[in-house]
Amino acid sequence: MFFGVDYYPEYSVVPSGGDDERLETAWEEAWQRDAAQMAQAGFNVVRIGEFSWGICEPQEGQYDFDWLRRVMDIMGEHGLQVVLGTPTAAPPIWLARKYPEILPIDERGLLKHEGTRRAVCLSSDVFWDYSKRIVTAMAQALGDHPQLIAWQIDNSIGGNNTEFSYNPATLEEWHLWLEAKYKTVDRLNELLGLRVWGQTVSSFDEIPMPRRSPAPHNPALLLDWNRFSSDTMVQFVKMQAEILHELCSQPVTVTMRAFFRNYDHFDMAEAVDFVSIESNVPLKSKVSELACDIDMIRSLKKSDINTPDGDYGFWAMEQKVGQSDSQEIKSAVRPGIIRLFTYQMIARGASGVLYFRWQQPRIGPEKFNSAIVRHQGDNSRTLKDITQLGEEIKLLAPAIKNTKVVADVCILYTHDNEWSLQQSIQPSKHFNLREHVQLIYNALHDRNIQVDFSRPIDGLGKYKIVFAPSLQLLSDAEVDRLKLYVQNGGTLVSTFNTGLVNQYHISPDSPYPGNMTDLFGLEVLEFDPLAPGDDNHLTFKGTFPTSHLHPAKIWCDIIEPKGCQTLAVFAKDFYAGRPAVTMNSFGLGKAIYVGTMSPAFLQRPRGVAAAIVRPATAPESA
Amino acid sequence: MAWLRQLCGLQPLLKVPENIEVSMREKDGTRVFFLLNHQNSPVRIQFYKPMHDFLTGNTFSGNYDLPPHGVLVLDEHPEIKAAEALA
Repeated sequence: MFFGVDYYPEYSVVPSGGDDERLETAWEEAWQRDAAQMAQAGFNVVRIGEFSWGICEPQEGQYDFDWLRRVMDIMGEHGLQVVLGTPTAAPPIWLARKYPEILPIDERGLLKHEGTRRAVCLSSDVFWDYSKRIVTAMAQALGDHPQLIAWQIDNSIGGNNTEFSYNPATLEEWHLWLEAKYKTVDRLNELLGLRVWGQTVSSFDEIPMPRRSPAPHNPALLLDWNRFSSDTMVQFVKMQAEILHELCSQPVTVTMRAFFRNYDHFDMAEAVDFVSIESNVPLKSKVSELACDIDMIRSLKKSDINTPDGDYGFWAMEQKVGQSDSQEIKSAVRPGIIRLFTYQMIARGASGVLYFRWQQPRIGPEKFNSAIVRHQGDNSRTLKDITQLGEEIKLLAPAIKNTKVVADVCILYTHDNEWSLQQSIQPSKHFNLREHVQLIYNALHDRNIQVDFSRPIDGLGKYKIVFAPSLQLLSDAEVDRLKLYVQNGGTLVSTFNTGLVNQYHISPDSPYPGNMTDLFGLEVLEFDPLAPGDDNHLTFKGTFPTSHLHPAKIWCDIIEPKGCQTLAVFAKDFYAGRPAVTMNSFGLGKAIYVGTMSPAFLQRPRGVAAAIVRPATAPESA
Repeated sequence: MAWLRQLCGLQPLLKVPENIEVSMREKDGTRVFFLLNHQNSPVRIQFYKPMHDFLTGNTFSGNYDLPPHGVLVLDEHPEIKAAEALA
């Protein structure tokens, strides 16, 4: 079990303003003091370096890693291991001055200027070239340090709204990406549906980037743009992983937020040896939302995990301990909260927890952001709490070594689907996938049932039940996998807004849900999305008195049963009495369809249970 | 959910009062339970059989009031199924 903190040795302020002859001694004293205090708090690891490019390479080709090596030595003197961040999240000023073409252009065609982190277009060959050089130089200079146990690649890739750029270099790569995918212009025109509004092209070079436009871009083109931009970020991380694997023996990781950025988190997880979460602030978020985030991150890598100590799970590389810059009002964290949410992280599978960050920097924009020690370096309340926690974790670590979280239930999630649902033209703009996922997650979390997240193409056979909330976009291959799961005895629960488009964002020429009417034993004839505040109601067949109303919100599917069993019907409107919740036997398993957003089907309709649950499999003791 | 649980043979990890979050980590039959009190007030937990808490080293039995924001990390006694020990 690793327990540690994110440390910024380069942000120490020494009193002389830089003129002191004893400057170096002053730095050393600061690092020694910090390391001693960190060890005293029970920490055994620090993460350093991820924004230090401009300090490690102050001028082109002039590398200085001695200071970082010295920091690592000092950490070693105090028994602290080191995770080293590659510094590509913050390119130096001289690079942008020399090659202004690396600066990112936004969708309006406006340049984002140098002077902060992330001022870069990830399609730039120049930037890739210089990134390779700094990563290689860093790996060669520090890769053999005895304290080094892992590399963190970049930091929070895609952060600060930098997932997309619209540079000439991006356009060039976009065309190559499309050509590799579609091979011929005819296929491109056909599968992207470019005949709409007569936007067909006669060469790959004519395909636009989806920049600011009067009307919405073609959804198939937007979907590919998301995939292309995701691939760009994943490939950038892979490039660094390859360099580090070649030169060093330590495992590599990236920091992610749960399904927050516009890249495919499953793809990103495949590029590294273990995944790390940047946790949300444990201040105002709901317990189950934080738990859901953690379960999502844990689920990104279920096998081939290589952590520094060979343990299972993932790391919390940035567990916030205090006020976050994302808050308008930075309320103090209440006593006991850091401990509680540290245990939530460990309980849900973390094998390393590092707090963000050691000390509030006295310089820069993040002065008042989350930190254990305040500007004045006093013995803070937070430090006392964490020191106590450090003692506990030492006791606990042997007991949880090599343990892991095992789930019987899975919720399906794909980024292709998320990107389809993010598009501006929808049957309802009031549908939010995360809210819908959270509704299902909460029902499970409230009952203390452990949950994994997966893609339909992942192995689902081990799960007793699979929830598939609103997979509007399902590829042909994904549909096959869902059918196979049920065929082999699984229980699948899908909801409204499922199977409306395939992987090319083309709608089916047969009834909804596309290619799955046999699986669910029904056809969706129409859908009736509801305005916020409006609702229909569910009546569970032969169970509750009709006065007992279960609200149905957001969306109602108008369903024609084709062999399914109806479990609940809508109570009103012109489709009153039509099925709302159904179940169909398919192969050895069951496919349940819920044609509306309602927590009711997840609650306790006892009569329904009696009606449908004939001698169920003997409950296993848990 | 009850009917779905029954349909699929799913069981909650432990029977505990509301607002207690439970999670479990396991290895070769060893199971470690985490109980987190997310309430700002104590929550009474009933132990029908003694359970060992890693954080304090205590063994709890009978009624125990988990303090506000308190945490228990319990392990199963070899012969005692935690599901039977807690209600």
